[in-house]
Amino acid sequence: MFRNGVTVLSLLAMLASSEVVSASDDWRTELEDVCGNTSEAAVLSHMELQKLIAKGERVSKALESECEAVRIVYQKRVQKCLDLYRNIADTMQPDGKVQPPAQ
Amino acid sequence: MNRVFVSLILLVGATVTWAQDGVIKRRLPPFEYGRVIINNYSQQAGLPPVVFDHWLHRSKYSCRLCHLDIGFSMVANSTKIRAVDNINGVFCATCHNGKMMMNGSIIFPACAKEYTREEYKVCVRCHQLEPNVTLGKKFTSFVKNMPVEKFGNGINWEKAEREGKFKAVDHIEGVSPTRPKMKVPNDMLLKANLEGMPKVIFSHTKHAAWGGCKLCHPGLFSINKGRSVYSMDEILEGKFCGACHKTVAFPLNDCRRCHAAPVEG
Amino acid sequence: MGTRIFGVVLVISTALLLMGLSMDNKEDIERILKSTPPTGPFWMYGTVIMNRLSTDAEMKPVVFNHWSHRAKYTCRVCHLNLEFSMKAGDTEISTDSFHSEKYCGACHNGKASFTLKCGPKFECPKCHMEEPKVLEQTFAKFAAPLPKTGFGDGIDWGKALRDGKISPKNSLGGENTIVPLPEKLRQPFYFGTASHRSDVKFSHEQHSADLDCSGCHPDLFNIKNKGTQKFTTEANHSGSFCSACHMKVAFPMRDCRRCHSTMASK
Repeated sequence: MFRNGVTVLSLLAMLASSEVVSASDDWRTELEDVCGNTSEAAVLSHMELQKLIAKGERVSKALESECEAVRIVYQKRVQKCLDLYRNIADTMQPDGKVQPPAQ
Repeated sequence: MNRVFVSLILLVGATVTWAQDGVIKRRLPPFEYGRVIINNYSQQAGLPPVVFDHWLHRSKYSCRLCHLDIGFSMVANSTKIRAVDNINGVFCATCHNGKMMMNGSIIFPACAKEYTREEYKVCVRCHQLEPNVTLGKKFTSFVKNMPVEKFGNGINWEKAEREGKFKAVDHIEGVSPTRPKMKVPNDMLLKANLEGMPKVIFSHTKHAAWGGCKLCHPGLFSINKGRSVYSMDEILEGKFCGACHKTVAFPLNDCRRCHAAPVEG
Repeated sequence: MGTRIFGVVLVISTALLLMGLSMDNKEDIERILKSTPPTGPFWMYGTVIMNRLSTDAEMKPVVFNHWSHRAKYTCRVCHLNLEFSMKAGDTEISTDSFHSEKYCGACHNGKASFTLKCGPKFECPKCHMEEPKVLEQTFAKFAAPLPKTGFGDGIDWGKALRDGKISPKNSLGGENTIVPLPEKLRQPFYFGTASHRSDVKFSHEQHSADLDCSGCHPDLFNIKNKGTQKFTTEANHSGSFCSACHMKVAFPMRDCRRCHSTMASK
């Protein structure tokens, strides 16, 4: 009985890990979306920025279940992209008007 | 009585800090400028610390490739690279994997769980036991074709890149994100705090060519929040411009390189 | 009771700190003069023995004199443009072509001055001196027409410059990239001492004629407001702050009145 339980558990674990593998492709494409746009971050609208931030946050969450080697690199990268978008979004009012930087 | 003791300690402490002030610091030879000694775990693992030379790497790759795509921090020794990370194929091993090619030769691999006596010779290419003489010679021959400059590596990197003296790789397949063409803000004229000091000509274009946006924004310079006024003091302490221009990019002694605008009147 | 002892200690420590700057009584002056190292014969002042690689290469060490060079060029030319460190032993001068053209070889190339390279004008012993004492005669001849002082190398360089006896060049023919001095820095700075009779008047203008900002800032003097509070006479006499130059090459600090210009005579 106990041994069966272990088998079921390990089967479950295998299933779970295979799911992570399939999920990993998702975050990779999403990460590409998020960080592929930083070069033109300055000309994006407030809406677009918010979308990218939401997507970035999803990637960041998905990364938490990844193996360490992947996590240490990509978590930092997505954070840098998020920081930039958030900073630029902060300079705008929600209506999209740009606030002049404080002198 | 305790107070007496404390004030004595404070006095002694003050004398110690004085001793470090007002002394001419060693000027690094061009070859050593930008060198980082990485020693988080090396000595614990029975290996000499890693001697990392920026000049060698920046002659082949852009700043953002390593500091954004591969994920190296810009503060020395804060990435905490472990051998296991390199074995897993991240950080150094993103390129140093024994497979990737550079200028027609294979880039030697970084870190392994086990190694033979023969393979140990590869370890000491980074975990240097003694100064790397071949690298010194490499530098001398590399510098010969480069536009000269005072200070730092003695190389005007910006000019060299612009004139195509070398090509800095900016993309590694499967590691770097796709980079659409950048919309670079205009150059800026920054006013110096001291009246009559030449203004600083800051070029977004020159900086973005190496670093893109994220290398500086918002970590070093926040676009809105932070400050639009920062002092030379802070820069000399390694904040703002000093984050790169104190250790790797051309150093701060080159006053005129930044304070380049003609003075009015 | 504790507070009292603390107060006493505070007074004593403040007094100790101020003593470094005080020139008020005879004993203090004597103490400070004692801490000022003597500078030796005139011809040796500002002479640097360079032996980073010479002896290993079976050559005599290089005997470099500042006096003959500073008559022709300002400090900036060698210490900024040619990147000679101001710290002895720091500069990687070698016969290697890259380095030799860069440092001494920038002028000593057979055109501007005698050459370092092989050929008819190759004169090793001119620098790798067999007998440094020959410099004594060279110096005597060199210094004869220049205004005298009793300190350092015995030459009043400031007066020599003002009288037009020397006219050192500010560059090696390249473009002039000197930072113009902002108005505020053109005014003299006053460094207070315990007695204002001995206050020091410092001129950025005189110094910047010879050096760029980075010659002194931020290593020797940080640019923080009131950063010079850490200044003590002892530190200032032992290779730090002013003495980085004014104990080795520029007029030495035994020449008190050059800086403490209004100090009463004994």
